[in-house]
Amino acid sequence: MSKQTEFRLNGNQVHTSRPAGDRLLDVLREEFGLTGVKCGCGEGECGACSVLLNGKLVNSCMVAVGKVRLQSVVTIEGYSKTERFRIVQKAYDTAGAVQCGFCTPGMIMATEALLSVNPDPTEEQIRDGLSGNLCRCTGYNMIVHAVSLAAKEGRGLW
Amino acid sequence: MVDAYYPETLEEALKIREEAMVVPYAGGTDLMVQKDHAAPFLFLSAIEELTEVQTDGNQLIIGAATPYADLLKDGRIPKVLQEAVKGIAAPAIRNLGTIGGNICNASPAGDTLPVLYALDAVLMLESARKTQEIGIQDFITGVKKTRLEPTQLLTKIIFPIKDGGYTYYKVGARKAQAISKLSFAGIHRLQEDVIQEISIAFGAVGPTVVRNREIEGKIKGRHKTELDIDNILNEYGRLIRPIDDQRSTARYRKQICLNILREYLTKGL
Repeated sequence: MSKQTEFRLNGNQVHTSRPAGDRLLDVLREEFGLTGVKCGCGEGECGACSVLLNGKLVNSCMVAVGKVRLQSVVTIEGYSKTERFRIVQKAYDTAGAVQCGFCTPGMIMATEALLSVNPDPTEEQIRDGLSGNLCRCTGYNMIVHAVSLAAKEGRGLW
Repeated sequence: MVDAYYPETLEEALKIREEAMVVPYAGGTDLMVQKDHAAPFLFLSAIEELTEVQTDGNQLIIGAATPYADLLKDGRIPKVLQEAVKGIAAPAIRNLGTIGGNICNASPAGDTLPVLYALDAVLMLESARKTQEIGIQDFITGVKKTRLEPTQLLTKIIFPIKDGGYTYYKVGARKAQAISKLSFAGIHRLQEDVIQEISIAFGAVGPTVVRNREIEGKIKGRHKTELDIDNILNEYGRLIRPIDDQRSTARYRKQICLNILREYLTKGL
């Protein structure tokens, strides 16, 4: 019942003394300076704050930091150091899947969450995998294309 | 002051519930969009008893803090319930949100609720001192209101595993991330086209889910081609009294409910 919450963040053991009821999103941005995690809507609608909790996609605006106690969190900053990320990044680039960029970190985390369980998704599965992430620029088709491109280029990585 | 509780067993959680004012935290997806919380959180997700699915004879027993995503992966979960769960939000929320949370949040638009009413789900409520079973229709008493006492936790959702067919419909503004304008669950078992069992439930068209055993009783025992469908629609029409709100209008909700019911009774059985 200590006021410290310990967890794994991007592979490192960390702790925070913020109240357990604070949003993981705010702790990541304000305490750890991980500003790749965006706040779009604050109510789970837009997916801009998506992170991986034990490898599963979650909206960090809907997670109390106490919930991640002794668990593992990966943000876009941690993910960007991986080989998988390089493939996804290149695919987003090639497909023109990034315009203003605000949704992109969340989209990429959703992409990783999808490919990690389904390395060869159909278009419908991609659209379902990204269905919690809003993009107001691209109209989605380029992002869907980017995910299938990443799956193809990164065959064997997932 | 204690900031939060992290019990690892149900026994521990119930003891804390007995001794302190806490807010049970399962998935957190409803809690975290409310701004203020009066009491510390009681985090439930580390408790194995609350996050597993079991079968006992012909009964399915679902731990209340089982996330939606787990229900989709489990072949023992009836398809009608999986279909409702698939229509909830999007993958990220389905990884967090739980079936027990959907029940205790008691929103009229909770997407698992019509299905659980139609499945005759029984809820196990536990406190350190007693265990109680209650039908879901008796547990939810109004909009965001339940009979859960401050010392209790909802621990299990129990219903019989049955053969038969079903229809599930969710009407929302779009496929993902939509809160229901209305929803419908119809579950039935026929023998040589005679209706042996039928349960019909409507969501988001009243303070709680609409289900009526009296009307169901009149449908039971009949041949599926010999139903007085206009009369059945009239009877349900009197019970379905939705409201206008930001998601839809009362008129639309009622009409679409009756359209779906007509389709179900004419083509879905």
